[in-house]
Amino acid sequence: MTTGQLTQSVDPAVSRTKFDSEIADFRALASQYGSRGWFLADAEFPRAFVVLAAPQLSPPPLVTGVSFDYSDYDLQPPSVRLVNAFTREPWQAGELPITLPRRVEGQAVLMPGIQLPPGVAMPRIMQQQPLMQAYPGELPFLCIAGVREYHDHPAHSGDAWELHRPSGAGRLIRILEVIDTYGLRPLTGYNVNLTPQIVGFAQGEPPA
Amino acid sequence: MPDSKIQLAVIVNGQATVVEANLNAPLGTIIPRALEQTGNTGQPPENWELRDAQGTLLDTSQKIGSFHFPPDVRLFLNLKAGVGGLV
Repeated sequence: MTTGQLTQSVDPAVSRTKFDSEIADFRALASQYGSRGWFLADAEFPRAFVVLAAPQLSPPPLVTGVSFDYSDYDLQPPSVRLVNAFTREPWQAGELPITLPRRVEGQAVLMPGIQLPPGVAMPRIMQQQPLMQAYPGELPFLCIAGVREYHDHPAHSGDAWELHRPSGAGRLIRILEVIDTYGLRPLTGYNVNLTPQIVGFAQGEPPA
Repeated sequence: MPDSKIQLAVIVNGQATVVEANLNAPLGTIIPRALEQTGNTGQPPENWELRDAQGTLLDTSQKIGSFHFPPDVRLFLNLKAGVGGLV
């Protein structure tokens, strides 16, 4: 059986039960999640569609939609895509409104001519690393364990889904929490691009 | 002598459980119990993070009593992002 593009090899009743449990867990606390800007817009096995807003901004924007596909769950992790909240089309890499940057420690900085006292660690540069990753021409994906696109990627063949499945890495709320932590909560305002245009002269009080 | 026990509702990756805790113990002590009660195995407690209903990260080294949680409090325990962002 195939659901969309993904093959369903687990008994569909099993995946459906697990999917229904994810949706029931969300709905049980829907008002609490809503206060954080998470809204479950659609849920029909195997897909769920969640819209994420940033209530801390004024006016509060609908920042992105998140499309989940729980086909073949939990033999396979869910597919997760950030999508346009209105059209539900997946964002291309250049269109992503949020890239989920995380702060990571970079390499140690060598400072020529400066001798550090014993026991003092070399200073390190802090870098930003986006959790949304993409190759040219491909759809960006959420690069964390628990997401199908992460485990399907050849670079992560050593980090099997089976290692993460028992801790609920593919659960709806957990994935939303990661997107919220790195993508929504850090938003503090709007970036505005103004293009000034000279339309005349400012003039003081005219003389009598 | 005041009761030093408290019942805390913990939502583990979306699944609810109630954990009995000691007000004088660090908040982090509820994590292994909540994971055990919800059958979340495979990742050690330090790979999880605890937030309040607004999504604010809580300092798990602080005593539970210092948070002055109301009786209907819900805490949210979720698996950290872990390694990621590299392809």
